[in-house]
Amino acid sequence: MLVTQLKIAYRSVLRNRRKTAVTFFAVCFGTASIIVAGGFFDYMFYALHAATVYGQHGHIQAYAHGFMEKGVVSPFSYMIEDFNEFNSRYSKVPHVRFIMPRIQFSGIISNGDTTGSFVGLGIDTNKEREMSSFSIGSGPAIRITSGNYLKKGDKNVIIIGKGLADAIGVKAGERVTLLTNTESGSINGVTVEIAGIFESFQKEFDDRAIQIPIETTQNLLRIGNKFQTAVFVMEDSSHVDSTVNILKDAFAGNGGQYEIRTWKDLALFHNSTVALFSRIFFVINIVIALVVVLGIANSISMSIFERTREIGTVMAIGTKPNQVVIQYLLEGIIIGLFGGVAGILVGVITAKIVSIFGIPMPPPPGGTRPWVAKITPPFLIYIRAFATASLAGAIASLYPAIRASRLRIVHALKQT
Amino acid sequence: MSHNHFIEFCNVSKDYQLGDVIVPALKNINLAIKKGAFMSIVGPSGSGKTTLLNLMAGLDVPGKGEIFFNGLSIKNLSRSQLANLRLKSIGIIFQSFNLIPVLTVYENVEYPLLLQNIPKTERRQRVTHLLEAVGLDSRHHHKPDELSGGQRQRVGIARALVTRPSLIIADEPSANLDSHTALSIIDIMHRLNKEEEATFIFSTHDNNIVRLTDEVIRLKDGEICSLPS
Repeated sequence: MLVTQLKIAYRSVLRNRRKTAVTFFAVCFGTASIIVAGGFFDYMFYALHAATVYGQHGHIQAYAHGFMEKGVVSPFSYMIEDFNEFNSRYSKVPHVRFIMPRIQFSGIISNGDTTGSFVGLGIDTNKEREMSSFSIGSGPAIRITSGNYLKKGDKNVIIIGKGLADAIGVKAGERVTLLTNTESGSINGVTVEIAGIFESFQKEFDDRAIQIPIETTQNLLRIGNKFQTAVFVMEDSSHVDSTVNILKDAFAGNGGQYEIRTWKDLALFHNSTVALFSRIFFVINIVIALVVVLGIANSISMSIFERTREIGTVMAIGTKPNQVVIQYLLEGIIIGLFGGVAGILVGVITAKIVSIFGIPMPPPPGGTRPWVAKITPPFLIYIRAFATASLAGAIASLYPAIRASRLRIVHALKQT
Repeated sequence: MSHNHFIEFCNVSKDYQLGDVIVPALKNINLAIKKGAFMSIVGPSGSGKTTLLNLMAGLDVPGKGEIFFNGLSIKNLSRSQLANLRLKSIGIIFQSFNLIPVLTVYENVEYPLLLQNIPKTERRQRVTHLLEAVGLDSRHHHKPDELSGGQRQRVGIARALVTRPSLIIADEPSANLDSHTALSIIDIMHRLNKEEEATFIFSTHDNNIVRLTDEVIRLKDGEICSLPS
């Protein structure tokens, strides 16, 4: 019986072509909209993730045990002794591209006339350059706006965030003095040359950051070969969770002397932005689903109105009320399914075409540079869009279908 | 009290409300019909023919009184139970044919058998036999809008008979047909009445057709004027 009901539903949908076409296009447009909007947000999340990972945190960070709780108050008490030993032990973990050391510290920067505070990052210049050259849709994660990046073997040179350089009025090639507290609590200073001025994706970061070779940092802080953070850069972000588990086991086997955080634990801006835009996307989804539901409901209601006598006839012949409900549910589902499939095709084509040209976007809130968005819908968005269309078809036709099943046969048969 | 007749109406009345006015359609009808009858119901417009047939077919419920079908009161049957009764025991032929427009001739006749979950081979056999009986064996794949009025009504007859019901109700089956086609339709119904041993009850205005029936019920103003002897 279901086959015949499907046949009737399919043919009835095709019979009134103009009305069906209007509804079909509404469903198709709704599905494509979900895919395009979803693809846009997905690319935005990806670009933000890439900027966060490759411009700031790497994928995973490891610290000496206790650093996460007390490192802010007493950073020198939670240092890792020897990077080479750490690197040789953990760089062979599957999917780890490389590990690099970092030391974060703060101090005062002065060009003689103007003085400001900075947050310094002692880095392995080569590895840090490799990571930050990853393109995030608006160029490399860390972009040199003037001068050069740090080179291997550089000593007493820095690159400085654009905001900070502007604030203290320095340019590439000029010299500045850095003052900071050493491990023992005394004050130490060093005069360094500004190799270049950099710009990350986040203005707040650029307003206070400098990057400095790790050897210079270790000398400045008088901490020997110690370092603070081991930054793991992975082949890609999909391996983070599995690698974290491997590292946790490995660290536990080593007496628990290290602790770890993933980029997501550190990326507060990324997380709040994703949460905000996910909610916006959810609302967009609901609005589109409502439009689709109303479109299909209207179509099915009109169909029932026009086919009242047909409903009376099939019920007179012996079709049960629940079979009438199924009949009209099927019509709604067919419109939803066909509109959904067409919507996916339209969505895919739109995404491809738009991505070829890109969508010029202004800098995000707190951002530094405009960027070019693409539409990259993940597979789940297709499922979601298709499910929305077909579910909307079923939901939209439910009420009209129940109404149809409750028609009084003798009245329905009188309709012309 | 036993109810041994095939169809029995006991003090059945039915009123309709038109705005504020209550219009009596049937008044205190008592009627018994035996199995295998070929009966016409005649009367002027508004005499209650359609209401009587709707009640017999289980499409409507009486306001007062009780209707027995094969000794079973249909008074308290649910919508689903009534649908089941119509599906298994009652065939309905409509004045305006009422075929499902998106189905072919074959599929229209097959439809009630699908509701009954009859196996495919048996369905094919029954549908083919009936379409042959009504002279439409070459029109299996035509849609209703590709047929003449007489052909559509023959499809309607085949559809009504395909479940082998014990009762076939037809409300003015020839009203939308020319006189020649009307007589041929009644002829087909009469033949199937004999061959399939089904009870045919139909309403008509046409005296030429009334003459072809075995029994006649005359209605006027919702009351029976004369019963078959």
